[in-house]
Amino acid sequence: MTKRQPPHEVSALPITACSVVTACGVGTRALHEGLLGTEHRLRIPSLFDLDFDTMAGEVSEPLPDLADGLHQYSTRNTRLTLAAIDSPGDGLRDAVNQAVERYGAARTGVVLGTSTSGMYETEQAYRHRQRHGHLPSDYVFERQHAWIALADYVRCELGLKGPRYVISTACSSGSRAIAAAQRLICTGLCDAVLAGGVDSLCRLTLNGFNSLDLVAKDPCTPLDRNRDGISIGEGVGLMLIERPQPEWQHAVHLLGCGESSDAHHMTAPHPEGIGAIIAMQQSFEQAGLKPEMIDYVNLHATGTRQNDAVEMAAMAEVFGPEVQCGGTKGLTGHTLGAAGAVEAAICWMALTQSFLPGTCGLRHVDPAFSRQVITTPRLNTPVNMVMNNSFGFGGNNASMILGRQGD
Amino acid sequence: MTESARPPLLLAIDGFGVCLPDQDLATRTGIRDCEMDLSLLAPLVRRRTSQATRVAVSAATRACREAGQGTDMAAVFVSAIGEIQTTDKLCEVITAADFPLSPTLFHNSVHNTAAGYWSIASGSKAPMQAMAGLNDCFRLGLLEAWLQIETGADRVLLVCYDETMPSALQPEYNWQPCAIALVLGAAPGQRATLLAPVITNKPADSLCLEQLVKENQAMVALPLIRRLQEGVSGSCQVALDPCFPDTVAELQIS
Repeated sequence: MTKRQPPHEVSALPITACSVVTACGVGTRALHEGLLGTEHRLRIPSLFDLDFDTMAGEVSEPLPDLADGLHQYSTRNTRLTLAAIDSPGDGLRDAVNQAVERYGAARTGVVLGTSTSGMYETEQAYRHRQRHGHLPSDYVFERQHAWIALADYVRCELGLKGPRYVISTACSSGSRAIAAAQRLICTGLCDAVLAGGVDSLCRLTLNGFNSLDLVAKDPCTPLDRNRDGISIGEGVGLMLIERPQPEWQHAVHLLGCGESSDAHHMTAPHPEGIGAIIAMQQSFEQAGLKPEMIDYVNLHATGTRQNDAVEMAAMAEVFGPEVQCGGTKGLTGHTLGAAGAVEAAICWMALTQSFLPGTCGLRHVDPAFSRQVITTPRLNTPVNMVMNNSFGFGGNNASMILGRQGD
Repeated sequence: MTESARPPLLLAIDGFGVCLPDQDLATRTGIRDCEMDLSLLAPLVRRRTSQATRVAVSAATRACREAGQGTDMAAVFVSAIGEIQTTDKLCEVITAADFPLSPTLFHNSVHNTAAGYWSIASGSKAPMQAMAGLNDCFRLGLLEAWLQIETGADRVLLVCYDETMPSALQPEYNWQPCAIALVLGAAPGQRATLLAPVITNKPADSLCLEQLVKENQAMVALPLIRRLQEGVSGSCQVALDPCFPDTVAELQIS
């Protein structure tokens, strides 16, 4: 009997384009400006009424309409995605077109994370049914509610023919989509993958998190001694990841990913952060790096009492007290299924723009935490290696390391 | 097909399980050992979980027991649309503005609910993947499991599952609750090996399930499960998706 083939080596992969949509606006430039300041972009949601007080990271720009032939896919989720694909200055569509030209459409894949897909439209469809006795004629369940519709839409929009799939592991979805893209390239199945996450505001998630007493009334204040919950946001983070090429050797690379489970509770993190520790350690192992080589960690840092405390305990276990870290959900809100990808994009920006984001909303660091929490942004700082953490319901954890090779 | 054109070895199948609670359907499709098995779930969880999670956990439990390698392995959970009954209930509550929502219903509506409960029940801290494929579940799940094994995982539990679609939402979907689970490893396997799919001009055994499968993606792998249950050594061709009967994989049973 023949033995198993040795597994494919997981190598560093260049990130050749990146785009975002957040409450700061469309594109990485708008988010960069937000990250350089200290003012949050949260507001009272305008999309629907709520019977409790909260602030949300709602995208206020008008969103583009989908092309005529694709209108059946039209949801807030896909329109946010189209805004990211065409965001001025980010060149994502051009980069994807170049990848298709270089490798072929069948060698270019799409892996996206979402926890909402078209839930906002489904809620409206139920309301319509209550009033009129039937679902709206333009509501297409398979193309609006179904999670896979997001990847199908992007594949049609960009003319891709490679593998496509959607991952939905709650708040780690975006990060886990990036990890899956890495596997598609390292096994040789794809030469380029558009990966990331998209989530849009809807009544279900806002009311759902409120039912768990996890939503802050005022703008959230992650890592603060007075933090009292999350502010929910919406957004898109997309990155084009390619197989290594000499011309990309100086680009920011995806260096390693780690994925794990808490095996503990559906909504509460493991008290000692065991799953978070495993995910971080695995990303070091895969990247062939040591904790002291990391310049900055973009924490999951949602702003709930328990999540932040457990994550900081896990950080102390993995890094000791000496790593610079912070959270950015006070600026954009917690973009849930998009968060891992939006914050991977923030890490990419820290590396390409040589700065470390502050922790928006943070006034007094919880004294139980490391003193290395970054409060206000640090500009003109050399940044070579960064880590991004995302943790979700079901004890679903993901960590990744981005950086420059051989620096 | 000539020897040189043989497709590459794809995956070892070290264990399998199925949950098809509708006995009539089980009889019609020749599938056995397919009852619910919630022995790994805590009693409180057992009462609260959805049909989707219950069939998924049942098939997973049976596949792991059959493989005899414990439960500490990565898993890929793939369903058409996930916890659609719970989502439907929440949408009704939201429409009626009957707040607050039930916190349990809310966290049981996330797509990775089955994966999360499985991790808790099995004690596995390995990664739990949760994917949504609508009409393309089994093949996408198989792809992700293959990717994980090819990049270093020793074993991956693949669970493909669906629950009944709420009729008010999609009346034309006549889904029966069903889950299949496979414990997969690097090929070749000791017991059974699946070869990479190929396109043939000779449609394979599809269990006459075409119509059922069109209605319910989780049943796509039933022909494969039946062959494994029959356990006749040798090789046979199975359709990985009876909607595409020309695309078949060769299954070698030791």
